[in-house]
Amino acid sequence: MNKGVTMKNQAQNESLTNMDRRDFLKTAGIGAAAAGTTIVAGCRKPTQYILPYGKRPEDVIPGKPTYYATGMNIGATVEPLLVESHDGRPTKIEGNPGHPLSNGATSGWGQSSILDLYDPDRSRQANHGADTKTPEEVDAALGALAKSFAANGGKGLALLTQWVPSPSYSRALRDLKKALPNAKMFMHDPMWSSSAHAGAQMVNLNGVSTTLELDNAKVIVSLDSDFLGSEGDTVRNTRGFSAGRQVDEEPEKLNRLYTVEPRYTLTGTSADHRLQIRGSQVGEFLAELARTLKSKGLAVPAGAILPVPKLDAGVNAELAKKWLTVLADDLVANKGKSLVVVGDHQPSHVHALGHLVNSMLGAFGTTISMSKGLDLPVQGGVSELAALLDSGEAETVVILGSNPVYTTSGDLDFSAKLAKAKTTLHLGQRKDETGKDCTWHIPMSHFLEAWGDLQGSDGSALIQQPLIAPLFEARSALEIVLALQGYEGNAHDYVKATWMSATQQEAPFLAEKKKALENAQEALKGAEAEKALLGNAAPADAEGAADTAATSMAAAAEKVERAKTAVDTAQKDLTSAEVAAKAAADKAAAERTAAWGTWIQKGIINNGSTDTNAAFSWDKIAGAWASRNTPADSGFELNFISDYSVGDGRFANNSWLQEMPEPITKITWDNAASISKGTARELNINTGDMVKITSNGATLEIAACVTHGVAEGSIILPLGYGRTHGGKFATGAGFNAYSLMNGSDWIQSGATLAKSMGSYQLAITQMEKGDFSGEIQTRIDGLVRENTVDGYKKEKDFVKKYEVMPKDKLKSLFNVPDNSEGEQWNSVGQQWGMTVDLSSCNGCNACAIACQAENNVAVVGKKEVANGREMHWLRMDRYFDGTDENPDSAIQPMSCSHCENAPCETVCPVAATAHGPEGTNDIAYNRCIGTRYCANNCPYKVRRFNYYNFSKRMDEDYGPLIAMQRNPDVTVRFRGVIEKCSYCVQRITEAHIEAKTTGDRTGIVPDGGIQAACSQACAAGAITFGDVNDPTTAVSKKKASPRNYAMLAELNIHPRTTYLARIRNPNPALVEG
Amino acid sequence: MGPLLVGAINYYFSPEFTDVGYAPEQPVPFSHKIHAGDLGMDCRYCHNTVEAAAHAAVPPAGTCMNCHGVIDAELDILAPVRDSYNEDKPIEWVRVHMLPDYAYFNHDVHLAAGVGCTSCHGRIDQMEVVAQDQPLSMSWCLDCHRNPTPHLRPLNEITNMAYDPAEAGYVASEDPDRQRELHPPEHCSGCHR
Repeated sequence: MNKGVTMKNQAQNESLTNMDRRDFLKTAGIGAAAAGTTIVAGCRKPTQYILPYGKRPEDVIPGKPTYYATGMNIGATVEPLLVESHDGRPTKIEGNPGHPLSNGATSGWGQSSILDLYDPDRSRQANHGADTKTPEEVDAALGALAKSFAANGGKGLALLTQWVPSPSYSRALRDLKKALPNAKMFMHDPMWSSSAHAGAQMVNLNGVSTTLELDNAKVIVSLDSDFLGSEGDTVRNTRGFSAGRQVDEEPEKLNRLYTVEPRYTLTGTSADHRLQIRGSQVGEFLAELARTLKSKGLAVPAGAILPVPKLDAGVNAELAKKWLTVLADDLVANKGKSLVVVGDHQPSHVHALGHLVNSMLGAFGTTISMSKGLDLPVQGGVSELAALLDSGEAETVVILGSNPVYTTSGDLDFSAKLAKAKTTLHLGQRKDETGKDCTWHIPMSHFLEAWGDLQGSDGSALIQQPLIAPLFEARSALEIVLALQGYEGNAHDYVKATWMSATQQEAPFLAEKKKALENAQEALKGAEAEKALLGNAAPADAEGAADTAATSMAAAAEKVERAKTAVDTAQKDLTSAEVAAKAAADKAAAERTAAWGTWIQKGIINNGSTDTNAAFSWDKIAGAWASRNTPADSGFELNFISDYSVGDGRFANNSWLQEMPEPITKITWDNAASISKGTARELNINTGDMVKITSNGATLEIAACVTHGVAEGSIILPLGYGRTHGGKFATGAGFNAYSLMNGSDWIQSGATLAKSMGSYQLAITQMEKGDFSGEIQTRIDGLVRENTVDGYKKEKDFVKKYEVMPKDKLKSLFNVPDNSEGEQWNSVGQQWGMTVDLSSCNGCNACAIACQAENNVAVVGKKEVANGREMHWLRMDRYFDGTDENPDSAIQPMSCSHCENAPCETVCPVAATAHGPEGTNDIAYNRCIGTRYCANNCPYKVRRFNYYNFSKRMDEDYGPLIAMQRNPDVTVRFRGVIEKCSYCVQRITEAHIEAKTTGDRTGIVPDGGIQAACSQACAAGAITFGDVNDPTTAVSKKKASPRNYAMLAELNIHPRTTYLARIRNPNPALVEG
Repeated sequence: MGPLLVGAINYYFSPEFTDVGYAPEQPVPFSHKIHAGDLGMDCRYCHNTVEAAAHAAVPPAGTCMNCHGVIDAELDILAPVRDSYNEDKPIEWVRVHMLPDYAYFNHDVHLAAGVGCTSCHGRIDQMEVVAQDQPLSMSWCLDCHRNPTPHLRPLNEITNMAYDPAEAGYVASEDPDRQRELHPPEHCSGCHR
């Protein structure tokens, strides 16, 4: 346990866990004997110490958290962050409310990245072969390297970087290229879509970054895209999408989402309509759609030839046909308010066609905005680097942050290629698969330890400031790139210089004056030419003609004079304009210097600029489509995906993410090959059976998971698992699907699948119970209530029809304040409550991770999850419905509902769980004796029991580093006690204290003054927390919605957390028949 | 005999008997009697975060050096303070007032309510060596939370060690500086979270 003031515990904390029974009894006996003698000496608690600063920095108040703005990136996704720091120790990550990419929300990856800072497996020292190296030795080695490259212009140097959308990093690479023109640079990042990039290049969308403006969209078609879950700006997309789902405010404006995909994505679970076809057919579907759109009268831009599709929608062929007409009609009707989104893993020609269709739909400038993109000066990817290694040209390979030995396809065998280089240097947070293969390994800093800057897809930029000095001898990729070119300063200076010298756009008035001068000069030239022409024609033969000639000559001369004066004036104007422009530029530079502090403080430099003047060229699409790979006629199709938990493997050593149930399969600590129910029946495979997948000569033995929503003939393979050198949590979890990959395609056909020997234990938190039917189905309808827009308009209070017990039948044995109208327990002071809007929630798990980070929720490990002992205070329940070919799904976040008439409280024999006066259901952990009666009596099953000393065990097994993340405002629980959601009671108490000690000291917290960790993280705004006793608060307004319902209300428990029913917006043309 | 023994242990092993009077030796023999008593320094000169945070932070050595850089600058017993200041290394003060880690006490809000330092810490200004004056047990906390009135004083007398509200005839409900009636929490999550 740790509290704000630094203290240390002198007493030896002897662990009894490793003792056998005999040893224990012996010790206990000695202890009992010793007790007699120590009573006299007093039974003091162990001595604690207080360690104040020698010199306390200004403005530091020990025990009071401070917040700093910074940012992180995952591939091309930039997350602006606001990080909480307790006494110099970053503990919690929130989104930066002042930045448009975040508006205060985060993704689950953003939330969990704080734990990576305290990863016990981070490399602590640089090493060269078997020798460890001090930072000074590393500096010397880098200096020597820089010197030798400076001599030969970087000959033999190959650099491999991750995708970092950072203006300064990009500048540093360009500077390096300038200094060492012979050096080669490559980029490899599985979380950055190379096919989307290639697709954009194909239509001449160079140097342009596109952003989805989903709040402007009425009809959205997702083509194997997961823009709400794992691809692109998920936080921004989720907010934009959710803005179009506010059914209470504007039922007319509800958007409609169609998804076409081979597996359930989070985007798919949010969809109004979902078509399940194989991944390779998604592009064909788009091509069919493009043709249908054309036949419905949408103009195809000049130069574009629509490709000829070969759609094979398998069992859903009929449905797909119907879809095409209906979908095209809907898109045409909403031209300018619709768009298609192509998934990151679709091949480039599909992306190119997606741009074309979007152009036909008038999406650019309305539902898709464009801004100036950022480019890294690289000459290719990892395959180009491999070729260079093969040819022996790459003698020194510097790998910055990337882990190519693990994250490249099995057929490349990058490890063997890497061995061909003389010197290999790896910069990484862990000595991973690549680190162990390199001659040098240097620890890489976490983003909270390094200076940098980031540019989002919308062009907005931010400064990445460190919150803590590098914990180990770590350095950033930027620092290495700077060291290689012999840069003298530090990363901070370099980043600052980038922004101080940012090229100013020429003032528009200057251009005007220049143009005016040019025009005047042009006029003068014309006049002079005219005069010269007249002069040449001068020898006249007639007097009259001579007179006329003289007159015109004089007129011409006058014209020239006038033109000269005009030129002089224009020249003067320009000179004064130039002076003004210089003054303006100087002023801007001074402003930038002054703004530097503000940029850092606010975490934003600019809001980005939109640039819609992209010059598309469509002529390459037809060719690319004509030469596309056609999938094999037989065999299974492999769909590689980046995992919801560990991404491409970069988060694999993050225990929170490992234990986070995958949103669809609910697997923790592993990945598995998801197969359809049909395939499972055919091959007699059950979840947990080992299967053998063979593709292009590579074979993988992997556990299978029979999953709803997988297209017939598809196998879904999440990447990022099966690590051999990923750290203590990563190593041994799951199976390495990269080994099956061939080339850079994420969709591969012609694979074979066979049941293998044995089975594998998967720790799944919510098992499938077959097809829900009959009574169970009725029950689920009551838990997750849904309706269509039309149904909702007809019957606003439809949620009531699921009520099992009439209100007057609900009688309690206990003295419950009689308030037959509302749900309120009493009406004194502030009463806390929550709503969860199922229309907005897409089940992304960000809230669950935020809760874990805020409330010190322990990680229990795979074995205990399999025993059903996970500790999550907030879980996602997901349900499936419908047929195998056309399934339906629902996701419902579930945590303690803080029942007013709580069944848990009445059964606690020691009153450890009791009601607070503000309606919270509190637990005094120290009072709990662990009977678990409360957990048994909880109808929502949200109470968690500490079967072991999970937190302490973590500290003992992995050292004190993880403990540095813990929130000092929340008790770390010990063995034998129950815990559950507290409505973030520490935040409630702090807010009350704040309200009692500042302002008018009333102690009343204003609406929005308290955000639960979950509601703060939610990008969809699905969770609302506040005072339900005040009708003006946001939560009270939500509760007043006719969609508001209490889960299991028939038990007369009056939960404070209620749900708002999900309203879908299906297309009537697809529903009927 | 059994129940008696249990009862006796429960009673005599309570903080009232085990903790009150705890006065460990400190690395620097700092005398509150001299500083707060004889010299009359306000508590908040050193414990300056008491009105801003949960913790009344023990001052950094820099605070000591404000005076001791000039006064008694060469005194031997102040060597650890000088070292701490010069090397920016903490002095290891022994914690006297210890609450369990699952109890969250906040100085700030108690001061805002008008609870004086002496209510919990006793006459610090008369202590050569700081000793625990009150049991700081849960029942002791609750005694005051259930009936705070006798422990309240004017908001400008918080750090006045000699002030006695009963003697001064202070009536909290008639104090115009107080904007609200006090309802100290008596439920679990008031202190445990």
